[in-house]
Amino acid sequence: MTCAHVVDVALRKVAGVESVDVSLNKGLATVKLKPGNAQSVPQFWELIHKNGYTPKSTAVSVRGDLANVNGQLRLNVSGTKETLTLAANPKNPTAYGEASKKLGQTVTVQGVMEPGKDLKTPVPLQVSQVE
Amino acid sequence: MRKALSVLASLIIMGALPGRAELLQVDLSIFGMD
Repeated sequence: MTCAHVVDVALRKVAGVESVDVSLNKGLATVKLKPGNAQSVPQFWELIHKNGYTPKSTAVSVRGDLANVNGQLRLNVSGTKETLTLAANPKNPTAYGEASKKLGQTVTVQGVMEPGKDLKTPVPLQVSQVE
Repeated sequence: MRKALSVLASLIIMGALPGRAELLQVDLSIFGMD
Protein backbone atom coordinates (compact mmCIF):
# COMPACT_ATOMS: atom_id res chain seq x y z
CA MET A 1 0.00 0.00 0.00
CA THR A 2 1.52 3.37 -1.02
CA CYS A 3 1.65 6.34 1.31
CA ALA A 4 -0.57 8.27 -1.07
CA HIS A 5 -3.17 5.52 -0.84
CA VAL A 6 -3.24 5.74 2.96
CA VAL A 7 -3.95 9.47 2.78
CA ASP A 8 -6.52 8.93 0.01
CA VAL A 9 -8.43 6.37 2.08
CA ALA A 10 -8.34 8.54 5.22
CA LEU A 11 -9.69 11.59 3.37
CA ARG A 12 -12.49 9.60 1.74
CA LYS A 13 -13.74 8.51 5.16
CA VAL A 14 -14.40 12.11 6.20
CA ALA A 15 -18.10 13.00 6.29
CA GLY A 16 -19.13 15.36 3.50
CA VAL A 17 -16.25 14.52 1.17
CA GLU A 18 -17.37 14.09 -2.43
CA SER A 19 -14.10 13.20 -4.14
CA VAL A 20 -10.39 12.90 -3.43
CA ASP A 21 -7.50 13.12 -5.87
CA VAL A 22 -4.01 12.53 -4.48
CA SER A 23 -1.06 13.38 -6.71
CA LEU A 24 2.24 11.72 -5.87
CA ASN A 25 4.32 14.00 -8.07
CA LYS A 26 2.85 17.24 -6.75
CA GLY A 27 2.50 16.16 -3.11
CA LEU A 28 -1.03 17.48 -3.39
CA ALA A 29 -4.40 16.16 -2.26
CA THR A 30 -7.45 17.80 -3.82
CA VAL A 31 -10.65 17.30 -1.84
CA LYS A 32 -14.05 18.32 -3.17
CA LEU A 33 -16.86 18.57 -0.64
CA LYS A 34 -20.58 17.98 -0.80
CA PRO A 35 -23.09 20.79 -0.22
CA GLY A 36 -24.05 21.12 3.43
CA ASN A 37 -20.83 19.63 4.76
CA ALA A 38 -19.57 20.73 8.18
CA GLN A 39 -15.83 20.39 7.68
CA SER A 40 -13.09 22.90 8.36
CA VAL A 41 -9.54 23.19 7.01
CA PRO A 42 -7.85 22.50 10.40
CA GLN A 43 -9.75 19.21 10.59
CA PHE A 44 -8.08 18.13 7.33
CA TRP A 45 -4.69 19.27 8.61
CA GLU A 46 -5.08 17.17 11.74
CA LEU A 47 -6.06 14.16 9.67
CA ILE A 48 -2.96 14.54 7.48
CA HIS A 49 -0.83 14.90 10.61
CA LYS A 50 -2.34 11.78 12.21
CA ASN A 51 -1.32 9.82 9.13
CA GLY A 52 2.31 10.84 9.57
CA TYR A 53 2.59 13.77 7.16
CA THR A 54 3.01 17.49 7.45
CA PRO A 55 0.28 19.68 5.96
CA LYS A 56 1.57 22.76 4.16
CA SER A 57 0.03 25.67 2.32
CA THR A 58 -3.60 24.93 1.47
CA ALA A 59 -5.62 26.48 -1.35
CA VAL A 60 -9.20 26.87 -0.18
CA SER A 61 -12.49 27.59 -1.91
CA VAL A 62 -15.22 28.47 0.57
CA ARG A 63 -18.67 30.01 0.39
CA GLY A 64 -20.04 32.22 3.13
CA ASP A 65 -21.39 35.58 4.24
CA LEU A 66 -18.99 38.53 4.43
CA ALA A 67 -19.12 40.57 7.62
CA ASN A 68 -17.10 43.29 9.33
CA VAL A 69 -16.38 42.49 12.97
CA ASN A 70 -14.50 45.23 14.84
CA GLY A 71 -12.92 46.42 11.62
CA GLN A 72 -11.87 42.91 10.66
CA LEU A 73 -13.24 41.30 7.51
CA ARG A 74 -14.72 37.88 8.27
CA LEU A 75 -16.46 35.11 6.43
CA ASN A 76 -19.22 33.38 8.36
CA VAL A 77 -19.25 29.80 7.24
CA SER A 78 -22.60 28.28 8.03
CA GLY A 79 -22.76 24.53 8.23
CA THR A 80 -19.96 24.92 10.77
CA LYS A 81 -19.58 27.28 13.72
CA GLU A 82 -16.50 28.57 11.98
CA THR A 83 -15.79 32.19 11.25
CA LEU A 84 -12.81 32.70 8.99
CA THR A 85 -10.77 35.85 9.37
CA LEU A 86 -9.79 37.22 5.97
CA ALA A 87 -6.42 38.78 5.24
CA ALA A 88 -4.76 40.35 2.22
CA ASN A 89 -2.82 38.00 -0.02
CA PRO A 90 0.61 39.46 -0.93
CA LYS A 91 0.26 37.95 -4.41
CA ASN A 92 -3.05 39.72 -5.03
CA PRO A 93 -3.60 42.51 -2.46
CA THR A 94 -6.50 44.06 -4.40
CA ALA A 95 -8.71 41.00 -3.80
CA TYR A 96 -9.09 41.89 -0.11
CA GLY A 97 -10.30 45.36 -1.08
CA GLU A 98 -12.82 43.83 -3.46
CA ALA A 99 -14.10 41.60 -0.65
CA SER A 100 -14.58 44.57 1.68
CA LYS A 101 -16.98 46.08 -0.87
CA LYS A 102 -19.25 43.04 -0.65
CA LEU A 103 -20.14 43.14 3.05
CA GLY A 104 -23.39 41.34 3.82
CA GLN A 105 -23.26 39.37 0.60
CA THR A 106 -22.91 35.63 0.17
CA VAL A 107 -19.74 35.07 -1.83
CA THR A 108 -17.28 32.38 -2.83
CA VAL A 109 -13.79 33.21 -1.62
CA GLN A 110 -10.68 31.53 -2.96
CA GLY A 111 -7.52 31.91 -0.98
CA VAL A 112 -4.64 30.32 0.86
CA MET A 113 -4.32 29.13 4.45
CA GLU A 114 -0.95 28.37 6.03
CA PRO A 115 -1.03 25.95 8.97
CA GLY A 116 0.54 27.23 12.19
CA LYS A 117 2.63 25.14 14.58
CA ASP A 118 -0.53 24.15 16.40
CA LEU A 119 -2.82 22.87 13.68
CA LYS A 120 -5.92 23.76 15.71
CA THR A 121 -5.04 27.44 15.97
CA PRO A 122 -7.25 29.54 13.68
CA VAL A 123 -5.32 31.10 10.81
CA PRO A 124 -6.49 33.78 8.38
CA LEU A 125 -7.60 33.01 4.85
CA GLN A 126 -5.45 35.09 2.50
CA VAL A 127 -7.87 36.21 -0.18
CA SER A 128 -6.91 35.55 -3.80
CA GLN A 129 -10.30 35.97 -5.44
CA VAL A 130 -13.89 36.85 -4.52
CA GLU A 131 -16.91 35.94 -6.65
CA MET B 1 -48.43 21.37 18.09
CA ARG B 2 -49.05 23.93 15.36
CA LYS B 3 -46.27 26.13 16.76
CA ALA B 4 -43.87 23.19 16.84
CA LEU B 5 -44.64 22.40 13.21
CA SER B 6 -44.12 26.05 12.30
CA VAL B 7 -40.70 26.09 13.97
CA LEU B 8 -39.77 22.83 12.24
CA ALA B 9 -40.82 24.21 8.86
CA SER B 10 -38.76 27.35 9.47
CA LEU B 11 -35.68 25.30 10.28
CA ILE B 12 -36.11 23.25 7.11
CA ILE B 13 -36.50 26.39 5.00
CA MET B 14 -33.42 27.97 6.62
CA GLY B 15 -31.41 24.89 5.74
CA ALA B 16 -32.53 25.10 2.13
CA LEU B 17 -31.69 28.76 1.65
CA PRO B 18 -29.14 29.42 -1.10
CA GLY B 19 -27.12 31.58 1.30
CA ARG B 20 -26.04 28.51 3.22
CA ALA B 21 -22.30 28.17 2.90
CA GLU B 22 -19.51 25.75 3.38
CA LEU B 23 -16.14 24.57 2.21
CA LEU B 24 -16.26 23.74 -1.48
CA GLN B 25 -12.75 22.50 -2.14
CA VAL B 26 -9.36 22.26 -0.44
CA ASP B 27 -6.03 21.59 -2.16
CA LEU B 28 -3.77 20.24 0.56
CA SER B 29 -0.02 20.41 0.02
CA ILE B 30 1.54 17.56 1.95
CA PHE B 31 5.19 17.32 2.89
CA GLY B 32 6.88 13.96 2.93
CA MET B 33 4.49 12.09 0.67
CA ASP B 34 6.08 9.51 -1.60
